[in-house]
Amino acid sequence: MSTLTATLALVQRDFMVEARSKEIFIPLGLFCLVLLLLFVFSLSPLPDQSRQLFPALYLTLLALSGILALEKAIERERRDDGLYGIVVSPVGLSSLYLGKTFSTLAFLFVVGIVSIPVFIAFLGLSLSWLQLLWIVWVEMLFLFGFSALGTIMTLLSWNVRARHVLLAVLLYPLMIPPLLASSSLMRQGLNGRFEMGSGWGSLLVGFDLLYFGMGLLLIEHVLEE
Amino acid sequence: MEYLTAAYLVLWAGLFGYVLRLSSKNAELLRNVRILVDFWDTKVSESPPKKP
Amino acid sequence: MSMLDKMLERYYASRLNTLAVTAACLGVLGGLIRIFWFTPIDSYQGVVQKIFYIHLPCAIGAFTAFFGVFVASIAFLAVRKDVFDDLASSLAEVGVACCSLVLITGPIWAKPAWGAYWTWDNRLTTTLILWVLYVGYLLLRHLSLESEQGKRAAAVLGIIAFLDVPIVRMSVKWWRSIHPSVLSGQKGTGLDRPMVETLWISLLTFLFFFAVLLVERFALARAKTLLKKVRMQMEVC
Repeated sequence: MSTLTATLALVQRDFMVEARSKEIFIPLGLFCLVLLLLFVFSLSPLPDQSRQLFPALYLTLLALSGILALEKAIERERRDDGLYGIVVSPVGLSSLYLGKTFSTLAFLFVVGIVSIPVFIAFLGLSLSWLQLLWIVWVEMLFLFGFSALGTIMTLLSWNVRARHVLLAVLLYPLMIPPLLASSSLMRQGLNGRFEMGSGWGSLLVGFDLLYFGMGLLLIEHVLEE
Repeated sequence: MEYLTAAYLVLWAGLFGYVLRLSSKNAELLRNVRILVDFWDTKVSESPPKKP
Repeated sequence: MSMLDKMLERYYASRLNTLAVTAACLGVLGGLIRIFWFTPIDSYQGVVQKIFYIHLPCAIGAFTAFFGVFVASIAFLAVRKDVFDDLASSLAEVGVACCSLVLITGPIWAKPAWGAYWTWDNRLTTTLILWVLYVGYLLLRHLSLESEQGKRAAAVLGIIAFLDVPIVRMSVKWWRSIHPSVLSGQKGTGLDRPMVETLWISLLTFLFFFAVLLVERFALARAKTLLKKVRMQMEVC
């Protein structure tokens, strides 16, 4: 079995499980909504402020709910020893990493896209189609780095006491650079500047590639036996 | 100001005394561990296991 | 038994440890006396500037230690010898201690010099993020109960955390350049000759002190690992 087919099979499996249990989508969407309400009420931004706030708010909420998705995906494997099954199966560890990364990315991406209209409505934003596309593109790059790093971090803290807290403590400091980069990119997009060639664009892509590469390289040390 | 600096230096001196004490304790601990490991390596692990 | 263990044994057997600790303590004490009584007072900042001679060695110690964690982690993953794991954990502890000192002395200095305890300056922010990361690293070690998997996890984190440093620095720098800071954090570079000499003395004495602390911590870690090994063999018999 090639790495690609194995990865696709794993992603498909995650989607099938999710389609039946709906453990991630619905709680995550609700969590996002509740957090948004909290933020909007506590900040109560003026109309011109909300445009500046949107990128930071949107990405922070995605990062906060993203950790729930990572947790949930691993919790599910833990419940029925699914991870053990995959490790002893002929599927390589790198496909396991790829599969987990891409399914997390897909889940979060969908949650992110679904929540854009809610943000627009609550914050009273007016966006052009190009700006919407730009937001989705930057969001994807951000979430790719988040899933690549998050997957390896979740597997790292897999067997540790108090792992929920630990995951947040380890993951969020590392996510500061991509958060800064993508919120700056989004803000530039909202002001009508769409360029990836600037420092932020290359920083974001570089971060994604570095952590994706590190994950692929180090996964065999994280999961053994 | 002078008093404050002097108090600060005394504080450092106290800390250093503490480190010195820790180090000698460490030396003692390491010596004991070494004795134990050597004992285990030479006496116990090389003697044939007792039959139950 | 590894070469490092033999060196450690000789270090303690010949009572070199007492000598080293005494030398390190007297060195730092001498350095402090020189800082406080035999170094000219900075003409702009006054007495406060003297904290610089403590602040900088701690910062250099912290970054060196974190780099050491990175190297030891790679070595551990490549060779899987417990020595490197012990080395990484000792280095991380000393590094976190230094980094904490940096974060304590920094604001004490910043308040009179810049007018605020904290600015979201490039170096400050990077140091804070590093501190959080390595405290998390120690936490991971503590919570994984020294299992084999926990050691590998810590090594992977040690590598990832260090690789993150340049990215964090770059991002924080650009972030600040977009939001112009109210306080320009320019450090006085016009140091006199005696001040430079004091800086070097204090750098060397502090780094020596940290190295001695590291050896103590490492010896303790080795003792723990060796004891654990014997205990496991005993349980097998």
